[in-house]
Amino acid sequence: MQKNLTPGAFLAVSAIAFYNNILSRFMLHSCRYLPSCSEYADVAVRKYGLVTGGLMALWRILRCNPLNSYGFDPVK
Amino acid sequence: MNNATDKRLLIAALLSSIMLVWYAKELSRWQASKQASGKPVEIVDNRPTQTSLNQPAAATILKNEPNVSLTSKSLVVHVGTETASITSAILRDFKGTKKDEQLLIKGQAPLLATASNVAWEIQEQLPARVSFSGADPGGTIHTISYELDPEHPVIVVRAGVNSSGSSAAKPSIYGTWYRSDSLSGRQNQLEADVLQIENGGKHIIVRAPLRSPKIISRGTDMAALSERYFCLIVDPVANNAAITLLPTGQDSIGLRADADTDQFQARVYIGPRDYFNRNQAGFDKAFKIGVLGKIGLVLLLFVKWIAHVTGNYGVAIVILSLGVTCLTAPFTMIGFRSMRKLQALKPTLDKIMADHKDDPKRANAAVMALYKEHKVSPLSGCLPLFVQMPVFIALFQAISHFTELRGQPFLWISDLSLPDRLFHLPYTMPVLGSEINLLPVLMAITMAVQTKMSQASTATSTGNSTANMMSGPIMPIMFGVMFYHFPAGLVLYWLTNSLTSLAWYRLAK
Repeated sequence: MQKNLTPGAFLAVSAIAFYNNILSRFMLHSCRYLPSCSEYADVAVRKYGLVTGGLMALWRILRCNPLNSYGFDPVK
Repeated sequence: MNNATDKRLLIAALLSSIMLVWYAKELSRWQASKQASGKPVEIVDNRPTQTSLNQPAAATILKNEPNVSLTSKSLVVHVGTETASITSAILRDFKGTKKDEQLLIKGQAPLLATASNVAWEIQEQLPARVSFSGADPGGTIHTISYELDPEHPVIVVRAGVNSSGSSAAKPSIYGTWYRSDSLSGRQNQLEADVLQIENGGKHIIVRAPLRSPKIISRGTDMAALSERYFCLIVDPVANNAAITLLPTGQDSIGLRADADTDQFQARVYIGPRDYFNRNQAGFDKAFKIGVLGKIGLVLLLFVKWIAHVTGNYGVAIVILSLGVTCLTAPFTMIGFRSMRKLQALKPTLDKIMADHKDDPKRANAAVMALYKEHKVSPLSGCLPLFVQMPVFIALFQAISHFTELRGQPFLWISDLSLPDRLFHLPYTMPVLGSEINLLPVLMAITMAVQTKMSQASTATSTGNSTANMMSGPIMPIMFGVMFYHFPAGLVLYWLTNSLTSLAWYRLAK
């Protein structure tokens, strides 16, 4: 899991950690999925890098709306 | 693992502080220097093109000269009779710095000027129209006339050159805008926005101060010089002028419009910058409006309407904020209840995920079954949250140039477009300045309370010390500092929003 991250991916993962640990405490939990979108983004960026992982995270956020399904949806 | 997260958090926090410092710096760049430097700044024009050969230098410095006044419903302009230039203007619908005073637009150069090496003489003078003509040293006859629109703050300028001789002179006009509105306070960036006709209307935006003249190709639809709430827009009627933006010093921005024909006509708007006022005068296209800008305009229209009914913009902002929170309240309540149920189910969910790690389908089925059993309705999702963010940004952008908010009082706030300024301190604090603003402080406190409540109900504390400290006292303080110099109207919106959500939290418990 803890493989070497590119600088961009490292920044992204830092930002996600910042959101996950701090900013999210100021907001209501609203995610329909398990793991939540931010946890998903963290795993995706670590596993597939900034571009692919970032796009996967974006697609996940787009899917996370009241018209879509919910439940368990891990990074493949 | 925990250590690594800590490190990343510190980096993220560092990035945020860099952002904050950048923001404070940006803010001070906006700050209007109150005392303009003693001597006027001369317009530097070193255009190397052939047009400048026959181009007379502009009347760059305001002279002490006799003037005539033209008056319309919304505008008074003073026209100097020696230079045939508009030396100053009064916007009759807007108040100036002092009480019962109308806003005077005046700088160290004329607002509008034309060829300065001409011996101008008045040809005709009416209450709303004046025309001049005169000959330059080469014997070419120049004419210029200014006529005020009866309804709107618009001046119709007609400039001409009778080039019967060998002279190839073409008419040109100069516009200069000095920071004139001392009520705008710190956030008063001067900028030029030139709308080109080609490519479906491209906007060229340049912020002051300019270092060198910027030549813009022909085909200009409108060229605007603006400060936060007021602007001067030149609209060449036949779209036949070439615009050059001129560096005119720290506190002003200038342009020159060179026509390519002997007769040149332009409509010039001198007035409030906000969309609604410009739209009435037909200058709606002058500034760039993106998708966000359109959302912002819809919100502003709504605020305008409530303010019209209630008679106060502060009340209107509070009502808008209450309205938005109450509209989303049912979702908030459902979300809150679901969140607490999920919290209770978390150990079971973790177990399901661990058990079916290699089979997401079965894990999903188990999760769904668990949700059904405990009647957990799924939350609204992350997308709606993401969509809300641009709406806030849109409101922020729209309010920042909304002239009608200027000078609007509410409770102790004297002007909703400025920080609320409860006290003035005799000394200056770093970053915060010399004023005590109450609203951002209230907002930080509300945020801290909100965190406490949501932490108590969700118990997300992970034992991560950096995270706990950041989300405890540091983040509310950081947000307070960030919002410290924001317009009171915006902070008011946010504060009302936070307070109402707190109330809904309480109700959901």
